[in-house]
Amino acid sequence: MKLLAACLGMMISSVLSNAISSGFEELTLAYLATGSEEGPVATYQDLSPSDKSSVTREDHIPIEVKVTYAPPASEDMTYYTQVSVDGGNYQKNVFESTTIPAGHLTASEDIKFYVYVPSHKHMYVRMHGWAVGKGTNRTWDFLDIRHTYVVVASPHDGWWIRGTLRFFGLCS
Amino acid sequence: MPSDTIVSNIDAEIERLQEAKRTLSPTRSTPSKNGKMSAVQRTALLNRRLQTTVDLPRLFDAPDGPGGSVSDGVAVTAYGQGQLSGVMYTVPAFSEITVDLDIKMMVVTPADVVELSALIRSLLDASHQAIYDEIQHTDISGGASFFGFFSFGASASYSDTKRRMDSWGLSETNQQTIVNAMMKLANTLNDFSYHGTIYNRDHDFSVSGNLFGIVMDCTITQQQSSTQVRVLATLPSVKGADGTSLPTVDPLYPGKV
Repeated sequence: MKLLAACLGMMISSVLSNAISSGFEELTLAYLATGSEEGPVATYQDLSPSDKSSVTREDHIPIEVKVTYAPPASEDMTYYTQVSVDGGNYQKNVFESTTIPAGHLTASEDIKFYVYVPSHKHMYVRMHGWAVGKGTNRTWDFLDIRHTYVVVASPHDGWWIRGTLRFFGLCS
Repeated sequence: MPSDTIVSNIDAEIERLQEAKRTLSPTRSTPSKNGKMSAVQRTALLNRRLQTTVDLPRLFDAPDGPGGSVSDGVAVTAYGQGQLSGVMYTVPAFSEITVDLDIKMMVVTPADVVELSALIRSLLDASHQAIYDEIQHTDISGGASFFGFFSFGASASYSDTKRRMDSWGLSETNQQTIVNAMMKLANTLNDFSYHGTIYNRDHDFSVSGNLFGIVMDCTITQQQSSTQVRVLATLPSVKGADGTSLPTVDPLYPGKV
């Protein structure tokens, strides 16, 4: 009889603890969800030139992206957009917005980074964009595009120069 | 008494009276040789001042403003270059950005300023229209003649702006039309938008700046009610903290004008 009562008690306590812990879990999830329900902080249009495009070796080409900002009303935001070529970071483009009522600010930037095409067979470009809330220091990633470009020799070079560059792996 | 004595007494009396008259006369009250007035002169001057009528309306002139001599009108309370709080740009080296911004603000936007300028121009005669057109080429106008219409970059009272409108040859009815048009734009949420390209391709350093523009604050009084209006000029610019302008391809221009 005592054994049965003990088993019954253990079952009730485990059910209760499960219910309480799941309740806490729900509460925690709900708490974490508040503040991130403000929708996207920024949107973007695709990077140009398009993926797998050919770029000329040792040239300066524009890497272009259009970002549309949608600042939340709750806090000031700082938006960063940065391009990196073969792992090397270029300087960041920064857009700061101050607190204004939601929907009162519509801003977009057509950002054009001029980057140097290295002498490799391929060029790996990453465009990364993130936003940081000035008050809460929360970070949102709104842009992360990776493109690979095929590096070709300049059409103005002679056939033997192009052949030599290809032979040494300086272009595709 | 001998007649000579009588004559000499009379002469002395005449001389004394003439001296007294000379002392009391305001035009002849000259200070003594050492630069100080005598007691007689001071007394005479004091008496004359006490007898002078004081013009109270001139001394205690009512300040210009609502309820004063001008019932309906515009007063320019502030004028200068203002910073648009809301956005800040940092353009990295070897890059360019084309910005497109639209903010809802409680201001008279450049698009409205263009309409107001057109209205005012239509009310002027031909000779004043030419002068009016010239104003927009000045720096203080921010690209809009409207900004030089009331005051050339300075604050101005109701009577100052009234006199200025009179000098433009505007009738009372036309002045009222302008005030009504400004009143209509007050206290409405307007779209301020601009578009432009900040070009930093040739530099190996980043540039950073805020949006600046010519701003004019006005107080419009009309039939016992008074409203504050902020007016933005048509040509904003992006400037850094040290006041240098960021390199733009063309001047930034409002998108909806």
